[in-house]
Amino acid sequence: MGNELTLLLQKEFTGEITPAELARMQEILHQWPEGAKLAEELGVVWEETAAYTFPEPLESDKYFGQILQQISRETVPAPVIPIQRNIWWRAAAAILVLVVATFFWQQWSRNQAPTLLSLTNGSNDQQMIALPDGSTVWLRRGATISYPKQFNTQKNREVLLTGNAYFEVAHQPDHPFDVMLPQGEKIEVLGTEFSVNSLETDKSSSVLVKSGSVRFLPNAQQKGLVLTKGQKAVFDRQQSKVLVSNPVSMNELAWQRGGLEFVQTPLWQVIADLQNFYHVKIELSNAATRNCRYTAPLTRQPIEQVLQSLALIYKFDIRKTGEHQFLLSNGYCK
Amino acid sequence: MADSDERLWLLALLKDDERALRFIFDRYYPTLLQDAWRIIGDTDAARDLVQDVFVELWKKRHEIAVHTSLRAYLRKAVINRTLNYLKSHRRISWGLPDELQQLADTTDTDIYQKEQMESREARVRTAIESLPEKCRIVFSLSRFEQMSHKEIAEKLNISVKTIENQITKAMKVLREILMNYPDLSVIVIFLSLGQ
Repeated sequence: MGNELTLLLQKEFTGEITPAELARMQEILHQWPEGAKLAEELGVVWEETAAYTFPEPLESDKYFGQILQQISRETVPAPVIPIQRNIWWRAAAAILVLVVATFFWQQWSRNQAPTLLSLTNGSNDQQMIALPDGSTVWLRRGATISYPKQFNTQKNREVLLTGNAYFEVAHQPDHPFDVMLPQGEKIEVLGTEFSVNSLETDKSSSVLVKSGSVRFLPNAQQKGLVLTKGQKAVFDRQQSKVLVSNPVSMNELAWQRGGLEFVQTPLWQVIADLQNFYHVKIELSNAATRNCRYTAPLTRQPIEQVLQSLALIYKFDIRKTGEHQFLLSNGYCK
Repeated sequence: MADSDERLWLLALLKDDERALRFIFDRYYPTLLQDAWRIIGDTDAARDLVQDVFVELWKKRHEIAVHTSLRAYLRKAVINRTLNYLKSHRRISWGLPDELQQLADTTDTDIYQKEQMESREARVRTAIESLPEKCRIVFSLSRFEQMSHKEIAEKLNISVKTIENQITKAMKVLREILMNYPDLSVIVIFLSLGQ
């Protein structure tokens, strides 16, 4: 009797009891009063067993790491990059956001499904990154660089860039270094140091070579254009035209070098550089002052101080016209 | 994980997005670990088995067909893998007729002798672990893996009657241990009264 009731009760607990069995169970309980106590106790036991749980701390991170290791051991030739613990969750606070992204990019072979590492500079300061081949990249804020995990083993060292970055490329003649831009432009590095500016929303991209030389290929159709030290190429995407110039100052690179330098620089250029570097708007109301020459060593002073030194030299009146806006009026060249 | 979330992560998995694996892992590792451990009783083995399931999930992501839910799919994978492991490594064979078909007395079970237990989890763990191994496995599959007696019988390739005998035995033993838990203070009183 006890055994039969026990089994029926268990089936009731799991929900698999049939109507006939339920009727039988009630019949037993009716005939056998002690059965009620058994039923109650078994109910308690059933509930209690819910506490049968894994007795150790889970340590998810550690064991996920092991899973990745096993995957990487077992799958060749596309290994899984160990995903750094908690990196994604610190996105808001981190200076460098490491995102493991896998996406099919038109330049890469579709069959390969390579795994790309992406690094984005989410901070306001420039960020310096070392590439696996020893090259250095300085990312301007908001810029993203991506490269495959097999960067060092591929014939061409290829990176993908959005935004503004400065490159110092390690010299490896057997492994050309290429920078791809999202809209299809490509920069083949022949020398060493250059800066690339490509914003997806921009109608243009630009390359400025500090030293060495690069070949700039705006798209597959156009022939490559070699740029050497001091040269700048601007590619107008809409018109599909490349304009080469020798810019007056290298201050376009100031953000990377950590400051601005002016050597007999005309004020119109100084203002442009200041605007770019400090993200402010400066208006020069006296047109005559546009060609005044200014010399100042490498500096990272706050914008107010820079403007004050200008005011001192050229007798400007400075007025702050907005949150990040200034007006320089009157004044004259020395 | 809501159904719609699950579909998204499955799609992401198919696009080779490793973040999907991490999300799925975070969501299901705790419960899958319970599933494996409740069957096998060994923490290291349980971890290895669940680990293998996630590795397989990644490796075979383009081949699997998840019809019901990811939870159900993964749980099934864990149970199968665990039972197969028991069969091959612990050489648990389910087909021995004499051992299982008889509804043996509870007296031949090594009923745990009392010791002061701190936590409910520890008490329950000890109680369940005092069951003979096959009995415990059958009990776990019924209690925790929501398998019916019929399903368990099919999975282990033995009769429903055998399963029901094991379940009955488990319930009896557990009741004996958990309900008749001798309290130290009661014994002390007993002794003093006997004086």
